Amino acid sequence: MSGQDVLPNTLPTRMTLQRLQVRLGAAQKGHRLLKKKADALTVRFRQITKDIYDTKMEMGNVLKRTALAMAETRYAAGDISQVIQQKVSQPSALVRGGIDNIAGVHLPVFNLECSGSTSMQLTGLSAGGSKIEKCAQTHRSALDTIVKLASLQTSFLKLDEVIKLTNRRVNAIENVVIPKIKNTIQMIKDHLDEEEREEFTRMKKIVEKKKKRIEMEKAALEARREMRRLEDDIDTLALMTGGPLEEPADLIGGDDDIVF
Amino acid sequence: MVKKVGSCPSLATYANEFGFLEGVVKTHYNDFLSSSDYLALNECENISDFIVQLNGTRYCQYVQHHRDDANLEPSVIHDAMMRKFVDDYNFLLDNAIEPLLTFLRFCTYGHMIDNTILIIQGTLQGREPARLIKACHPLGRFDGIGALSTARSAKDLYDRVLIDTPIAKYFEKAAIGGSAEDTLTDSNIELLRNSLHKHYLEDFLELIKELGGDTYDEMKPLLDFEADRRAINISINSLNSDITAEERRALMPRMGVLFPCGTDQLVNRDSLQGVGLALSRVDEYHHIFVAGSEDDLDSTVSIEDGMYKLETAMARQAMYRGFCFAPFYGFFKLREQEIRNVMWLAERVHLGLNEGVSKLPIIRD
Amino acid sequence: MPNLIDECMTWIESIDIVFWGSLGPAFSISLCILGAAWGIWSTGSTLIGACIRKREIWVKNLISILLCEAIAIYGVIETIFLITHIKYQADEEYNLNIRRTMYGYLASGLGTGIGCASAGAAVGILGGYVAISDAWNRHLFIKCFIVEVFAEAIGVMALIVGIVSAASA
Repeated sequence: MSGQDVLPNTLPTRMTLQRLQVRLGAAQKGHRLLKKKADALTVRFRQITKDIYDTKMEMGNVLKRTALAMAETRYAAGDISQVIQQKVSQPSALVRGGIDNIAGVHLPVFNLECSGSTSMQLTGLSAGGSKIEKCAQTHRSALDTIVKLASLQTSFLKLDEVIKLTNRRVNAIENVVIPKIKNTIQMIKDHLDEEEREEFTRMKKIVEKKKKRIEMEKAALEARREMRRLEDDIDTLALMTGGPLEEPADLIGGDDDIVF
Repeated sequence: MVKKVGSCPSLATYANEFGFLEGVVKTHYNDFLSSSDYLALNECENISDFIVQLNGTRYCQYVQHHRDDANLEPSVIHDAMMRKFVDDYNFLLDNAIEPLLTFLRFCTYGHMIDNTILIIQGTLQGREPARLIKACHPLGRFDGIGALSTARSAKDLYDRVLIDTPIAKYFEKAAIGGSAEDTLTDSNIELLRNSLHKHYLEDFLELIKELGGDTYDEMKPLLDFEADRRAINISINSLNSDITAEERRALMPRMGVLFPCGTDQLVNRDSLQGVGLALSRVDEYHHIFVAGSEDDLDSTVSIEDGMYKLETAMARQAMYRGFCFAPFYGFFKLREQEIRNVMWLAERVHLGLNEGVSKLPIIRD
Repeated sequence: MPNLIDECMTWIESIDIVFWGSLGPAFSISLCILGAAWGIWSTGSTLIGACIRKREIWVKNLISILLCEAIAIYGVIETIFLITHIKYQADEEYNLNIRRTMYGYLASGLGTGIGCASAGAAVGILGGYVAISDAWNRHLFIKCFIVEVFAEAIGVMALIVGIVSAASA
């Protein structure tokens, strides 16, 4: 991953690191869940696709039968379409919308409600009544199929959209969010390590310097001691010879840096 | 009461008065599609093909301007055929003198009844009048049909419009409880329609009785058949409904081969077998019934098909007759049948099926 | 009443016998032409109706019209024949037979007239249906036409018998 794939405005501190690690855990959990949802939706999607195929196949037959029944009716009873149209005052079939919940997705479902139609009664009493009845039945079944297909198609479109959305999310989490967080964590870790190393080196340098100074002081002390011993010797000699004894200078008092 | 129309002229003078129209109507027989035409139509792939085929027949001038259209519906063919029918009928009507004029007009009263019922129904439902009139059968149009839809109530309808039409007397007769306007409600409109048809048929029988002679002899079987068909259809189609026997009896024409014993039996039957039993006394109907009810499921031949076949055969026989008005009636029935036949084929072709020709009654070999 | 009948008889007998003879050609021409006209009327109206849809039958079926026309010609022949025979002669012998001759002419004229009128009506009605049959199926024309010719033959028979009876009168 390139250096740009990190979260913006992150301070490389330990607190941020902790927070990011929590976020990473959450992202992975969400990813898992979304993936499960996408799988469930895909299963349903496949089912619907199969249903649509079957229904469409059936539809061709049903509609053909409908048209045939219509032709038969026209043959037997003449053009009755006007007669029927003028008779109808209430719809004999209603389509009601419902909602199906699949993995948190609301799919619209259409249901056909047929009321026992009385407007057909007695039509074609003198010619083709049975044909008209048959024709009506075929049309009713065709309507059933059409509504079923419409319901499936709408679900299909809706599901398609939702699956795309979910997959996009899954992919986004998998390929963008998680790597970003991971990168950031890595970057922060790197940063912290770097800082640690710098500190270590600095310590070492200080210790070295101090050691040097201690060394020097030791040497100076030694030299003073030598000197004192020499002075003592001289004193002793002076005593022996009777000369005055001089006080030595405070060497350590001026140096604050010295830490033991 | 039927107004006096005089009797049909006898052998010696018939040709002088009606020879011209007889010549016209009988040469219409050549215009009917022959069985080879039907086979050719059956081979068509789509409606455009169909129209090309029809171009080779007498319908050419009615379909030729559709030749180059794409995406044609079968209704185009229906309209073209209906236009020819109306033109031919109007030619007959324009050249006819009494009593043939009355006879020819009588042939269209059935459509007139249907149109009136349609408009009444539409008006009761508050539909657009212009569309209703457009939907009417062209042969059943009459003066003042447009005024039908202006009437707001049933009483209006009767007083203003129907009273002037020739079918007013059927409305009067069909009226349940004395006054005609009581009948114009939505619930019993289908019963009213059939009742009107019944009175129309009975009136038609009166007319041919008055015309007398060969016309009576030749027309009686045709009208009897028509009446019987109505009676049979009504009894079969009302099996699953809540019509009482009395109501059913009121719808059955008081004429026909089945009347009165067979009609009595039909009225009181409430199963398909019962109807078959009632029909067993007339050979032709019995055959049709047996053939029609045997394979009801795949519906290769239904009772209606059998009836149409028999009707076509009878109408064709009527076309051969001379010195009477039966050829005109036969022409009427055969044309209607031909339109049905061609529409059936056209719809089959439109669906891409090509096996429909066998069940059709072919008019001309 | 008997008086009235007697008076009528006297009145009829007072009419000149040649009048009765002259009625023969009159009946013959008028009845024949009536028959021919009737026939042409029937055939013609049906033929015209049939021709509207089937033009090609027109020429052939004009023969039916001609056959009807021929009936009128039979009448003309008979009439001319009779007219040339009706002569008023004053001699004794002729006057003896004049009654018989003149009634013979009358009978001949009436017979030909009624016979040809029937033939004309028959040919006319048949002619119309021949036209329709021809329009349906052109092979039927010859077959039906033979029938028409036999109807025409009735007129010829009437003419022959009429002429023979007039000649022998």
